[in-house]
Amino acid sequence: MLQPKIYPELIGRALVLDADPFVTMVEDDNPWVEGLFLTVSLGFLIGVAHWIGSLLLTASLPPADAVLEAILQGWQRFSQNISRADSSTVEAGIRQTWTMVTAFSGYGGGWFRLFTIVATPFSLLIQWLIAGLIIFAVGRALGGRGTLNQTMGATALMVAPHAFSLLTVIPFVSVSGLLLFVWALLINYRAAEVVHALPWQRAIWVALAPVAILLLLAFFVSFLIGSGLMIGGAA
Amino acid sequence: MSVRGPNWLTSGAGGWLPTLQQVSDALQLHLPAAIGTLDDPEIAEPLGTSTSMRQGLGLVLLTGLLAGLVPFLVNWVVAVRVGTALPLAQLSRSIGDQANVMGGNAAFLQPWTETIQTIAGLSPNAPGWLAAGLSALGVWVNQPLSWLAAWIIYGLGILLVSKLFGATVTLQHFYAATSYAYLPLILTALGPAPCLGPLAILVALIWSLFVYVRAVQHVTHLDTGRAILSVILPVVFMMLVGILLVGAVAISMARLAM
Repeated sequence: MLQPKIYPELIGRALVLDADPFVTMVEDDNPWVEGLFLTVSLGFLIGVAHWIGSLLLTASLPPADAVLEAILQGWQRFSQNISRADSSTVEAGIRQTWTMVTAFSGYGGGWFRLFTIVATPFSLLIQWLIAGLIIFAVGRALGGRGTLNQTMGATALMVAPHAFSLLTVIPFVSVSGLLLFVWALLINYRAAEVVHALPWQRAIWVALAPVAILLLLAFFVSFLIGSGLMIGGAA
Repeated sequence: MSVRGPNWLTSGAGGWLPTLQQVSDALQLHLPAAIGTLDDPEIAEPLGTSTSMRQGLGLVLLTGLLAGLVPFLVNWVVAVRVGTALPLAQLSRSIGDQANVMGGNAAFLQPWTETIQTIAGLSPNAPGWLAAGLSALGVWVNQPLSWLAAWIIYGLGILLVSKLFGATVTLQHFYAATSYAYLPLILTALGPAPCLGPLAILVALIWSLFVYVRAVQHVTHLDTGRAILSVILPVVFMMLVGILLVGAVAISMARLAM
């Protein structure tokens, strides 16, 4: 049965690496579904916080059009006095970049900033699914005893550090991506240790496995793309 | 749900913060008295006899908030005077200072100095005092978050090095102990004060380093030399990586320019 009331406590305890929340997830009647609901709920709340934060950011700054105008005037003065670059090309580039930056940050307004409410839970979900599946496979390969359902439930707590992202409801607040990554790594280490009853040395390898596999995959894909470009270029 | 009781999150300051006596002991470098000798931090001990990671987390967040309180008020006033968001006011001021320092050599900066100052002079969508307040609040909240990042990331670096030296310590006990190293950093609140500021920051950093070494030494049972190396080596490693990255970027840019 879903227990959203205990999610704040589960998140708090997972942040301080207590074993209890992992045990709670493992002993849940349906850990996978509980993990899914926890991840989507937190992601949705963070998305809403981002959305409100972007509204307040827009309110705290001068109108985006006026800022763009000032930047373009600055560029014109710069290009007249110092730079010999083609002014119109650079201006077009500035306009394009500005449109993208304001759209993605929500500063420019528009419906696009609502996209974050959907994108954030989806992104957390993808991270959890990839990490959970790899941790299960590597954990079992290293002698772990946990089931896939239990592993998915426990590794869902890797989203706990993202709770700090709720503070982005305040404009200009940013949470370090490296902090979220490292903390999630520590939580996955505890999850592997608890679910698979592994000694700490093996639990470290299990927790690092998703990162290592994704890095290897990225290296392999970039190698293939690079090779393809070189062969295509030569042809 | 088997979690101990429904009030874990709201179990009072005692659950989230160490006692004042523990804080005082830590500041006087009596780390064993502050941290305790608890082997399993998950077992509840009488208040004030040991430190949990939860108390460490609370301590780092509270210290960061306190250190940022005075700068927050100063920043708000500064931004209200300019009538804009704090980052714009700060950018405008720093680029102006930069141009003044560079004097006649800053001709290429002039158009951009004027642009930034023009943008800072534009009225925000919300009333100026509100824009200033919201942005100053955001900058304030970033302070404990950045200390939290240092505590977790730099702490993991120290833990890895000390493990290589043969330390036997749990993650929770390690993070609980090292949280005290952020207490002296409260002095950085004096940073903006002329003359006193740089001195306060220097004292805070040195004091924090001492607390870090003593805390690491206590929980890892390493000798002083190895504890010092555990604290310093991650910094050296990060500096080397930084130098390599900057060098690589510089070389790439030089090649592009050729």
